[in-house]
Amino acid sequence: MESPLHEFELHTIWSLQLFGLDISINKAVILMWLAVGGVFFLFYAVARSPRLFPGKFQVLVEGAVEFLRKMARENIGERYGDRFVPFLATLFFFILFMNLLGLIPGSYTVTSQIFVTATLALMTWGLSLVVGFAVHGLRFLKIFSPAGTPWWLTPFMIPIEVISHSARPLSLALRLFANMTAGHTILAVLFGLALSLQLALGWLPFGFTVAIYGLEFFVAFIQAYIFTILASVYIGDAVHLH
Amino acid sequence: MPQFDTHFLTSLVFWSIVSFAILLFLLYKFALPPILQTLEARERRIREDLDKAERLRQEAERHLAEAEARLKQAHASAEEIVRLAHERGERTAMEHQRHILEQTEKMLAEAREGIERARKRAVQEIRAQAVEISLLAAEKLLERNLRDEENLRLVRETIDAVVEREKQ
Repeated sequence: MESPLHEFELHTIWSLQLFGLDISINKAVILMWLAVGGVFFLFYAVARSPRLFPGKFQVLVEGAVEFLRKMARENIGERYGDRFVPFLATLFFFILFMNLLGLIPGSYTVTSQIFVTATLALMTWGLSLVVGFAVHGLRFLKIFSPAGTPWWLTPFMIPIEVISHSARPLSLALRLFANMTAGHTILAVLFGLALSLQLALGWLPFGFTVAIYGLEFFVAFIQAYIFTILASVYIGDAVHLH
Repeated sequence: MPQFDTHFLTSLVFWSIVSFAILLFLLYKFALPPILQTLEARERRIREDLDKAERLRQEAERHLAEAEARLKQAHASAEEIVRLAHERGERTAMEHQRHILEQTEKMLAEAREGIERARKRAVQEIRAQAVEISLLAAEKLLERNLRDEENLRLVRETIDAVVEREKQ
């Protein structure tokens, strides 16, 4: 029986170098492209001829966009919220499609790669810092010393706040990575079990596989949503200074 | 875990950033503007439709109130017209009656006057004839027996009788 972690292994398909940097193409990269293509295709199909009385796909996409816009307005505010809708929409649909494509048997779950989720998390965190400094200038550093802190607590508060703030990208990256990895590992374990057992007993783990697969479908949406809403909350924090 | 194999670090990070950037650009440039525009157009349309419906409702209410007021006014004026017609009819009838009464009285008065005049004329005529007849009779009697006491008395009686009759 092969390792349940075997499915997360990557193999270089096409070696590629850019200024001495290894940017070789592997399965994860191809799935990323498919996700980009899939999201763009869905959006473009709707955006090419949007109708005032929408069809099925338009309702779906418009509902998602409106949902994200509402999220942005609630967490970032009426003034800046709309500007971050493209970023949040990209984040949500990119992650969602990578999650969903990973559920197709034989494909690859890109979001189970910690480097990918970490990149997205650091981009989000970096954006929140840039927004903070752009809106408030150096006053943005006040975010490390919350209002109402007694002066003698300040030396203790600042390191705590710095650590808590730095934990944001870490938690973002780990949450998505861990959820996707765990879900797919469970699926692999259960399915391996189902294959290695006789039919008389094997149907039990196989039944669980089906149930967990349904759950994973749900998780694919939930995790994309959590990542996006936390991104909007972090950006909102930078805009409002808590 | 295979995910911690740093062999793929640069490739995955690079392609993550590039893929994300490309998708962000594509959505920002081509996909989101028309979708957001449609959303806003629909929102505007719905808001306008609601406003319009509200406006039309108010207008309809106003029309209804106007129509009711007009109806009430029409009722009132119809009643007024009937009342006026009634009054005028009564007045006309009364006038007619009074006119007829006056006319009748005038005719009666005229008739009474005519009768009175005719009677007076007749009395005068009779008196004149009586005098003439008396004179004639007196002449004749005088011619025959002027001294006859009896005759004189007859003449006087005759005259008196004539006068007496006329008085009646």
